Amino acid sequence: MMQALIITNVLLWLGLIGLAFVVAALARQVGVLHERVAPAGALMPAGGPAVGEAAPRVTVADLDGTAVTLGAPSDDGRATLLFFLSPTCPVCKTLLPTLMRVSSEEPSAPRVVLASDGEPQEHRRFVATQRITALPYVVSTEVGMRYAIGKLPYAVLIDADGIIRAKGIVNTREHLESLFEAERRGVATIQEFLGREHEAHERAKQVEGEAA
Amino acid sequence: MNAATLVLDPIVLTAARVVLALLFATTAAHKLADTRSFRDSVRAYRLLPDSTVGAIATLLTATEAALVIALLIPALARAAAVAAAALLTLYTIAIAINLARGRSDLDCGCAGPASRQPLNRGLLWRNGLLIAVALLASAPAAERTLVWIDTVSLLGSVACAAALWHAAGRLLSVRAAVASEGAQ
Repeated sequence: MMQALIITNVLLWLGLIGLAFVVAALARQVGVLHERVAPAGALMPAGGPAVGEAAPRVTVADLDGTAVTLGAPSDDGRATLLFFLSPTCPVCKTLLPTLMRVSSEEPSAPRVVLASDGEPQEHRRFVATQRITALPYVVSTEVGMRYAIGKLPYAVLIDADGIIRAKGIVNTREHLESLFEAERRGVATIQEFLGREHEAHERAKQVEGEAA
Repeated sequence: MNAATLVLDPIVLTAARVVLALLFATTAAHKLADTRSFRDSVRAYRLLPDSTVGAIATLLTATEAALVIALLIPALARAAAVAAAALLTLYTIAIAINLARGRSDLDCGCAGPASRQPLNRGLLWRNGLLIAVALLASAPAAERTLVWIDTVSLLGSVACAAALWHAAGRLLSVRAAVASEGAQ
């Protein structure tokens, strides 16, 4: 009997410890999922030109001296992804590989323009170490102010006609992709999209109710 | 058993003290790893005059580190457990005051800046449970010969407590984040 009790006890402990660790892993996974799913729209602070408005037309020289025009209709039918960052922003650095990939995909892919402010020397060093020399890099306080940039990293998606289609703080690759998704669906934020879906669903229910 | 004093099984006491020591070891390590961040956390609570924040932050870190050691020394364990309960009560009151002020966008500062734990009611419950454990850990030990299965009990309860503590923390921070997004 004693033997049986000891055995059952040890088995219960093993089961309990296993369960506790699974719960811990689940909780961690929920946290990770939430980070990925948190819509870019939820992080969109008020201020700056609104989605649907024309992007402010600005021409600035990038670090190589080439003129970069923002807000004008593009000649090649490409949208522009304007990405605000800073050399001291660790999350920004994690998004650089995604930005390089976005800009080098098909010829129809948006052109990526990096924007920051401060001393050009510091940014040249940053561009060299991060190996992003292929992307136009604009150092301009004016651009930041025009778009009312507060928190970084921040991205603005401007379509080929120079209209702002989506914008917001982006912390992850998924946030960045949700901006493209927002543009595809013609909504400003995922929340707006979900709101529309909800409304459509409610209307459908109402119609069913009336028909019954 | 004398009704006036609660005497607990020695393994239960050891488990409680080891769990507390482990907890303070983790929190103290986070505070030591980033002293500036912890000082900012203390300042953000807005309960102390600015000039004392640095000294208090250092004092809290030192106390936690000392408690880790004291909890594991049998002669000091009971006093350390009472001190732990007092410290935790202090933290809980600080959180409660800020929640009452409506300031729930503050980071708790419990486990370093990476944990992103905004203040919420769940923390009060979690801490309350911990304070109860600390008070229990201050009880005197009953006399009993320990057997091998006591090691199983000790390791098992410490492992479960650690896993559940992490899970609770994660779930509380996600709940708080979802609640604040919904409010926008």
